[in-house]
Amino acid sequence: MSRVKRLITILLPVFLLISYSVKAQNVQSAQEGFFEANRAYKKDQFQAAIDGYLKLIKNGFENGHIYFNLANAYLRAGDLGRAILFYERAYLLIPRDDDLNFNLSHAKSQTVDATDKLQTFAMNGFLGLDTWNLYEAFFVFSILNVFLFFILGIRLFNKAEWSYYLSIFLVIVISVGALVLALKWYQSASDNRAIILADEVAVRAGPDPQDTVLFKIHEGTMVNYERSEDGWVLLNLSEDKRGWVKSSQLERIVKKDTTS
Amino acid sequence: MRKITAVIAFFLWSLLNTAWAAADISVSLRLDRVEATLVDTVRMEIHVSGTRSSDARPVLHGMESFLVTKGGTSSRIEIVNGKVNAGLTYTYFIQPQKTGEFTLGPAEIKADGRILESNKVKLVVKASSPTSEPDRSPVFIEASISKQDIFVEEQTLYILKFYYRINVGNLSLNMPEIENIALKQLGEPREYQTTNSGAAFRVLEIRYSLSASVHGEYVIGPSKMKMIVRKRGNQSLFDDFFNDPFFQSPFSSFSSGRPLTVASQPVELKVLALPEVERPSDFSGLVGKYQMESRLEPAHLKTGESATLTVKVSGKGNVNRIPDIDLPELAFARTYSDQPVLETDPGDDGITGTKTMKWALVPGKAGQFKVPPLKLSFFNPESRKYDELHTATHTLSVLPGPAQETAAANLMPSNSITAEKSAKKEIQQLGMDILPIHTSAGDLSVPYRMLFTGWLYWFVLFGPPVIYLMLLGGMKIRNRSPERMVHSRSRNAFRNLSKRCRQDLSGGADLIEAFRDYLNERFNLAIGTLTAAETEKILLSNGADSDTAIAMRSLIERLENAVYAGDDAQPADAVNDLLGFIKTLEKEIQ
Repeated sequence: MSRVKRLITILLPVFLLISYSVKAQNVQSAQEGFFEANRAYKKDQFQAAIDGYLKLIKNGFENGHIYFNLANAYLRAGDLGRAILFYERAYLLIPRDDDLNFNLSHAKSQTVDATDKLQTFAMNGFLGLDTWNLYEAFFVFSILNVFLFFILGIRLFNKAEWSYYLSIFLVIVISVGALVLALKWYQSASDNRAIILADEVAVRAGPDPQDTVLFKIHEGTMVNYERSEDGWVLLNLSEDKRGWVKSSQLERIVKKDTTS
Repeated sequence: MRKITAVIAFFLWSLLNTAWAAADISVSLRLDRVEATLVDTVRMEIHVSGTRSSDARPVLHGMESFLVTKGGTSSRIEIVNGKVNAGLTYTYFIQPQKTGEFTLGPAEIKADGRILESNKVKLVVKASSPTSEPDRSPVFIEASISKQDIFVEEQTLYILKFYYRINVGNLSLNMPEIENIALKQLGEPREYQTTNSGAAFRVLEIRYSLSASVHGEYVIGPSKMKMIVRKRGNQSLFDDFFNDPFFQSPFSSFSSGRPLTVASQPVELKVLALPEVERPSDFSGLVGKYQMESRLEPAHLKTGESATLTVKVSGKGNVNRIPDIDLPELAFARTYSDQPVLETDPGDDGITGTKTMKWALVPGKAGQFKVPPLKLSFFNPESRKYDELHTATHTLSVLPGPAQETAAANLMPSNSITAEKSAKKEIQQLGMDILPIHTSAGDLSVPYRMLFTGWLYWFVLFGPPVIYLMLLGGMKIRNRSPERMVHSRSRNAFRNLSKRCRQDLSGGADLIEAFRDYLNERFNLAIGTLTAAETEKILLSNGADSDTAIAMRSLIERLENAVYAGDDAQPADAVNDLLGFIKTLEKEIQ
């Protein structure tokens, strides 16, 4: 038993040290990749920049700024559809970034199709949901959660009057926070928006190349993704504009694994 | 009753207002046609508005070549939107005595002590239609055009005359539709009597303004008039009633009979292109005859005050093409343009109109400044060349305003700085591009994301409540130990006694009873009646000091004596003594 204890005492710090150094190495490597991609962008080597940013995202460095840079590179490379797609993904993470809002607006102004804004969630404006990302909402909720139970814990030993009123206030605030978090989570889970990536897409009456072409939409247009079937996707722009396109011609803003 | 009073009051007010309305009297002269033959009788009306009476009948000028017959006088009073309009109409019938072009009027009338003059009107008198012409049918329609060679956008008159000498009704007119040709009706149709081929006809005359947008040769197709020709015969008792003029109006639909359609002859039109030679660069497509006038009011002002520059372009032609004239930027003043106003009048001879443009000029510095003349180009079909109109050069005299006077007194830099500051420009977007990439090392971080990873997510979410519940459970368990229970019992007993003592206990007996309950609860006893000796015994057996036990016994005896002596009131300071002894007792027992 004592030998096992001794072994753990020796191996645990070694394991922690190795994992920390691996992590530090990853961060350093990611920083190098980030600066490399930025340099490529500035030298107008946009494809190299795109590859660099995509590699960072693949390695787990998925944040709004990387998405923003990637979208910029796509826009410079002339791929409007992917530029808007990654600007929209960046918007989910850094919705208050002024550069992002400017560039997204600029990119959208270059689309061909005039479409109404898709309303994915009726309570978008409630409590400024649009200006928060899901992680921020969860972070604020966590802080409130810890603080509330800290105060309740104090009350177990000292039932002072101030702690009573503070705990009542915190219960109200945390209820609102929980509501915001739940709505934000629902908003994220129910986000079915997708961006058309191909230059021109024929929307057909059914999932078959022989089906009637109902209408055509163009690169960068935002649509609602309904469901997929045998490599085809049923989309809609409004109640009277629905149809099927090949799944390679569009990509969802919020990545989901469901294939239903 | 109130309603009647209100009506009378309103009527009286209306009559009083008539006097006010008389202050603005005007006279106008009108003919029922602009062309006539020697055998026609033309109806002439003189309208006097603003009064219902005149001092004398009108004096007519320019009537030497006409035989004039009085046709009566009528007066009217109208109340529209609370405004009273009074009027007087003199009607005359005039018959031309010779051919030619005549100017009739003005008519002079004396009203309200003043002599007023009307406008003049023109009448063209032609020889009567020769009787040698073949007999015309009782219903026919004639189309004519006032000028057959016109320029693009030039206005000419297309006149339709519907002649009839039988009873017709339900008239409807179908106009020809020709590409690049626009027809616009001028005023209401006129009705009068004339002779044609020796026969008397009633005439319904409709005038149109015609213009072409593309040069070329055109044929204006026939205009068709559909109608119902009413039957004659089978006269009944009701004929007199239906012979009323209302039912005889050609547009009345109270009729039955034979449907009939008549068509005018086609009319040829040649449209010439506007000359390319000497075409001004600012030519907007305006064709016709125009005048331009301008005024600047006030011409003297102080800096910061506002003057109004008004430019009016009026004329006859395609007035809707009068352009919005641009006022050049003025170095000495800020300019604010008003929305231009275009007023059109479809008169007998064509469409006339006036466009009024206004600018507010707010000078920023003192001095004498000139407002440069404004220019307008148009094509004059009469002279067949382009003309230019210019406004006068206006001079604006600007004195220093209060702010500028102070500035001058303080020897501040020249006024041009103020002018530069005041002449702010709208920022223009010169290009569009995206903003650059984010390059800071901090942009690689993934904020808050670690909260969503693995155990930390669950810990942050459920850790605090779990820790709290564990603490709560631990405290509950702790409170169930014998020591905690004794301590708790002691605390509760003392709390209950203090509570009862704070209440208004009526006498010593109540105080003894409260103390007894304390002992029962504190030491888990079941004493029914408490005596002083028992008190001492219980306290000593539970570890109290002998002094305290004796003191308590003395207190109970004091209270008992008070009760048995018939003194129902509490002995002085008994409550305080009791609570003091119990505090001491609690310390001793622990």
